Amino acid sequence: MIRTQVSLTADQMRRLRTEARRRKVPIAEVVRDAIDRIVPSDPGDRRARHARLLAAAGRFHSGTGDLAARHDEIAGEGEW
Amino acid sequence: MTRILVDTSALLAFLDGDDPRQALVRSAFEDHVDDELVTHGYVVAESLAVVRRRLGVAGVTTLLDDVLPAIELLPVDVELHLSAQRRYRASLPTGVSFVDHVSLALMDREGIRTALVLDADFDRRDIEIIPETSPSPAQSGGSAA
Repeated sequence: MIRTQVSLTADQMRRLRTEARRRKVPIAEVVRDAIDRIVPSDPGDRRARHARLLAAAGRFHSGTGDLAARHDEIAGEGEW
Repeated sequence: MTRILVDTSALLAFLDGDDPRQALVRSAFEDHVDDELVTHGYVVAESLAVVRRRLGVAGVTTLLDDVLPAIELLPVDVELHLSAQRRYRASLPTGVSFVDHVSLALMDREGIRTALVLDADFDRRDIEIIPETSPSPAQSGGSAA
């Protein structure tokens, strides 16, 4: 982590504190989250990761097609 | 950019070419390429358990290497865990699983209002469920994880 100093208006600080209390997290975490939303990681990287995800669609065959519907039961069947 | 919680049921249906709702889930992932997909460690643990058992090690490596890197992992701290535990305890003996209680508590904490899920446990007035589909009989009958 890199430490930095930022000046905020009283209203920004009030809103930041309110949000941190609502989420029950440190103020710094709200700031980091806001930065990630406003300045997301490289869109090219995001799209590449998403494309890789999509390429995995339906890659496997359970033979039963019920994994999603019965996952609670199946998860309890064997070793994790 | 909308934040969307991805549930175990969606991950499993997405990977399983035999799942009758696989194409629906795939379309939902395609439609939300510019949104922020998020999940949490309990969903990952549950998904790994089911995938390893039914789809094998290749399924696990695909989940870890190809699918999860596109989904942001949100932290579940002690307070959130205990909140979900209380909700789970209070909800007994209904079939809402503990993992689903963690997901719902996380959505409340983060103000997330959209879930990519095939699970009837998320059927709440303030949550938009994608893809739009009716739950399967196995889901609506409830379960107990």
